[in-house]
Amino acid sequence: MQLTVLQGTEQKTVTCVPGDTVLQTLVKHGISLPAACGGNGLCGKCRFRRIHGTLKEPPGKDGWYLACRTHPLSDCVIEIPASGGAFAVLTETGAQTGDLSQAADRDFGIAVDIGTTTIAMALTGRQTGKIYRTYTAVNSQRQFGADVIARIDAANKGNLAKLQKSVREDIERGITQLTDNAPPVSGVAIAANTTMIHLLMGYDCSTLGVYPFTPFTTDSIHTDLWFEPQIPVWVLPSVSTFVGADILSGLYASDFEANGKNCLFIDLGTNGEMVLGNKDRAVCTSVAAGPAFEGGNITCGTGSIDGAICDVHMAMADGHLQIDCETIGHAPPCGICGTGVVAAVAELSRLRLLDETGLLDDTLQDGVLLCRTPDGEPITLYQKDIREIQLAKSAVRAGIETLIRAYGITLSQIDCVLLAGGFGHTLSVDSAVQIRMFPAALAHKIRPVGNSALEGAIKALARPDAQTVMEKIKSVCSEITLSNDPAFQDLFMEYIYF
Amino acid sequence: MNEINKEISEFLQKGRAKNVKELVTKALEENVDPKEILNDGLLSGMMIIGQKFKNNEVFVPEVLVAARAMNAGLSILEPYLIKAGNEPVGKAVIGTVKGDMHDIGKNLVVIMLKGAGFEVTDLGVDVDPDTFIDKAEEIGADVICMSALLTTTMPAMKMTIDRLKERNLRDKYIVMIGGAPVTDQYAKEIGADFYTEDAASAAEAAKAAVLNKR
Repeated sequence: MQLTVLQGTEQKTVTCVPGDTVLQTLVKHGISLPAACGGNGLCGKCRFRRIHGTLKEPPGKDGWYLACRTHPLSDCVIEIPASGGAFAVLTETGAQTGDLSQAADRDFGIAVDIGTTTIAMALTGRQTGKIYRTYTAVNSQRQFGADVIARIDAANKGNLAKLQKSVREDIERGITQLTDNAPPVSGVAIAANTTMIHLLMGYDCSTLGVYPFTPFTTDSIHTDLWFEPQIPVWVLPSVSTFVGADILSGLYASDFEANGKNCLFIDLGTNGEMVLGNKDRAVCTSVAAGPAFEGGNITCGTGSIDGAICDVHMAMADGHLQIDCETIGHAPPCGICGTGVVAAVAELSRLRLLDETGLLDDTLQDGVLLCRTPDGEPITLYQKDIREIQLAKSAVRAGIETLIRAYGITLSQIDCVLLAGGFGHTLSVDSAVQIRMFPAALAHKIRPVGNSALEGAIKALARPDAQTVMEKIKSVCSEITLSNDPAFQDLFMEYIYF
Repeated sequence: MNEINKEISEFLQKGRAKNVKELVTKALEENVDPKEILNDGLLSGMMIIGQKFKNNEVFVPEVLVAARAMNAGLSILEPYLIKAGNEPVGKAVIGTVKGDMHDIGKNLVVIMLKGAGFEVTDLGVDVDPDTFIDKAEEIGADVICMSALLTTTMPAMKMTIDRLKERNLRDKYIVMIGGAPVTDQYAKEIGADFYTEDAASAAEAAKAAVLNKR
């Protein structure tokens, strides 16, 4: 069967295997729709309209179909929202960039950061540590689910080989593009979370998704590039199932090993991984933040793409609420991303339009209309969305507080706070403090560090002592498990409030 | 409705465990029927909180402190309910399945089941399939309730049901499942009797199912 997809002014026709859902078909052909819940029919994000053709399931009351729940029965033409499912991929790092034609390097390498959602790669010089080219892509494993638990589940149900093939093809495409018309590369360094490493290597995932969440290995892996066996690949070491090589790589990029100062490193995404310590001793943990920071489970939520509301200012004038929204790239508004939701909630809280339990003011019971899309569709923040942010921010704060207690220092003894990742890169610190996600006393110490996982992989290719140093960082990190820690649960309840 | 029960309900909704305890004691001294205290005081308050939670008016912490207050009231009331010859509606065994350590939702179901008149045995978290069954056999349970918060631990629900079948005990028990990733469809797939969305509905469904089976 043929499935023709209209998106804005673009049109693409792909083959649909009978029995596959529309979402499965789109993902297989690289057309991405947001599916925060991993195709379980829960988030309502993967919606499309039918132009013609027969579909097995009926549409929802609003006339939209859900791609994850709908099976084509004949050739179909469908339309998906123009702002569809693009993902922003952060390649900004602390590393310098340079012009390949003037490179002073003798050797070159490929640094890779495999994220659950996206993949970032760089062609880098192994003497200077400069970035000459970057490449980004959506992780094709998304067809097997949005989060790591869904991927582990898929692997355990017999799809491990497919998941491995999928990510290997993604990386192969990236390397082919990065090395086109470039000098040969002499090494590849890969940073990723522990699940992504298991899937890349084809390791058994059966103990990864159940308590006590035991990984197959957390050690450095030295292997050969599967399609160019003469090129060595180094998969960076991890701390545990929850604190992976991406975090260890980020610490390495931040010169954690050289620092006697106390540093708090936080990477915010679906999980919030955090490390507190210095070169001699560190504690780390991971909290489940849910997809809210990436715009998931938010009614009008979207990724950090052009047109996403990323900042919100509110003021009361003559008894009326005035709202100013800022969008990414100053493009026409299409939805709201994680930083926008945090900003909006912070403003509502500041103006006391949100009480301390997170309940919206009586006058706003139907939601807060932030602005409209060019088509006149409202972009509204609902009570339910605020609840999602409350769960996420409280998990982060409770995690930070637990680490501080376990490490045995006070807030004033923390010298710097490093925020890694895309969400942390654009997050307003003031908003985050207003909603009590971060302690106010840390506000002036917070610094975004960009894609530090990629930066660590770049540094790993450029420094001969990289392995020794990373192993040292790994050896000083001890993990704290939060599940069923009563103190963590009490903190979590406390910080749900504003 | 008795004035004191109304007060119990209101304090419970505010999560004031101490006040709830005091008022339940006072009501018993004033010879208010224990069953009335349960239904019109504790349960009525918990139902209101449950409804407000569904409407997003209150959030997880409010539900949890209300549940703690309910538990405090129940601990005083339970001996009197038994003394009054109040037979439990039924017996339930409950736990979070093997490999899963989440228990906030499961604990709420425990409290709502107690409120609905069940004698509840809570097996905690990371519960083995055979542990569910052995305990159910031991206490003569009517209902087995399983909770899972991860898609990777959901298969353990099926394992318990399969073990029940292997041990020729499947028809003896009402099997109920719940948890964030669990759906009605999944309950059908694995042959569970009921899935419910929240703690209050779980207690109602359990009660209806037990009464129906008799």
